[in-house]
Amino acid sequence: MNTRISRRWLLAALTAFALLPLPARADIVTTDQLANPTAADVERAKVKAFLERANVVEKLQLFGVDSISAADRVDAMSQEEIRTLARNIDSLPAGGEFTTTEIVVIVVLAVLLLVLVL
Amino acid sequence: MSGTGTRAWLAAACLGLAACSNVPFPSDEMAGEELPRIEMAAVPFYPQEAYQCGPAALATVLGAAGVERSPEALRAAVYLPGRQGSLQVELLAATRRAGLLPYVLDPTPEALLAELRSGHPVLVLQDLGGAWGTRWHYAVVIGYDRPQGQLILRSGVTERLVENFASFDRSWARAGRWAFVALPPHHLPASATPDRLVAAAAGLERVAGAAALPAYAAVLERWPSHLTARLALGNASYWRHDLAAAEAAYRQATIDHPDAAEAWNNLAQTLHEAGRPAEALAAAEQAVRLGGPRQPLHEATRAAIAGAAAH
Repeated sequence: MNTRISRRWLLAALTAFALLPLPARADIVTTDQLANPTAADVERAKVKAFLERANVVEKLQLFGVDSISAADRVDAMSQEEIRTLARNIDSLPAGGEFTTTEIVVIVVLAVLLLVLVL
Repeated sequence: MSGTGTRAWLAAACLGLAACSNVPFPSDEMAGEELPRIEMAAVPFYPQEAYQCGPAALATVLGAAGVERSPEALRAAVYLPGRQGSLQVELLAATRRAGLLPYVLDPTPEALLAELRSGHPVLVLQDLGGAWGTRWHYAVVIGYDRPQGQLILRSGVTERLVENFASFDRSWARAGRWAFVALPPHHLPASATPDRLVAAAAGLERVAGAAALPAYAAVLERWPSHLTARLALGNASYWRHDLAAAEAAYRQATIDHPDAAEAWNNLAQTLHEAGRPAEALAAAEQAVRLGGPRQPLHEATRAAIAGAAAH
């Protein structure tokens, strides 16, 4: 009985401790922080960055990249670049795109032009 | 193969349109001193396969900067099957993976020409679609001919595409005049501004580590009192436990920028770890006095130093 109560207390105490904000730690100001002055709230920015990264990795996989490559590719991006892709990867320019309908339209126009010229 | 044919038709159509309007070649202010013609003939050429203008153009600029990568090898890093193309961001990321500094230019013809004058080939995004919708395409500008008003490009399957500046600029403007150079870290872009350069170097440092440090040194050579570049070098020394070098860099930063709280904070932490508590505490107090957005960190540093001194 006694141990059960103390266990419960221990659990409650641990939970409360986990929810407390971590005390600020003495440290140097890192280069990443200096180069990205917008991210003042470092801890919140870290959580957001983590979620955005996972989001972009998932989207790259949806577009046909295998999971290991996707993670590796995202790791070479800056946080700002990851944010851009997280927001609108579908509408950003992808150089090299050339859909078959476009090809058909252009070929038809080209043939028309040829016929008109001749 | 049909892609090649249509591309030729498209190019012909573009040139036809270009003949009607006449946009002058930009920025004549430096015309007196600059060369009328430039062509970097040594820049390699990789003819693109279907949808592969991203890997091909990237291989071209990496090769010109001395990093040999085949388009096939780069395909795994930048090609997105679901979009049948490559995203701009991924070209920048893959440049970092190759140990080179990617720098996105100001979206102006002047910045493009400044890089060419300095012998840097420029990777550009174009929209070749015109009236038929968008068709995003990457190419590399390797030179210009001012009297003729022309640019010279490695583009698609064409090793030496000579394009009227006006028609190029129309397709380039539709893509936001996006362009970047890929350079060895010690070699700065001609058109760069220091803050954006340091941000680019920090991006490279995250991926390539110490290979990025020459970029900060080069920034300081051109802008000797740049705060972030100085602190970045100090931080790199700090992380490899070279406390003397870190102290020297941070101290220089506090001399150049006495109001920079970050410089005082980092100096304080370094002196603390070097076993010089009195000097460390003085520097930490200066950081707290100056305050700023990272005040909680400055206060924590001061508390840690004061606490250690009390024991």
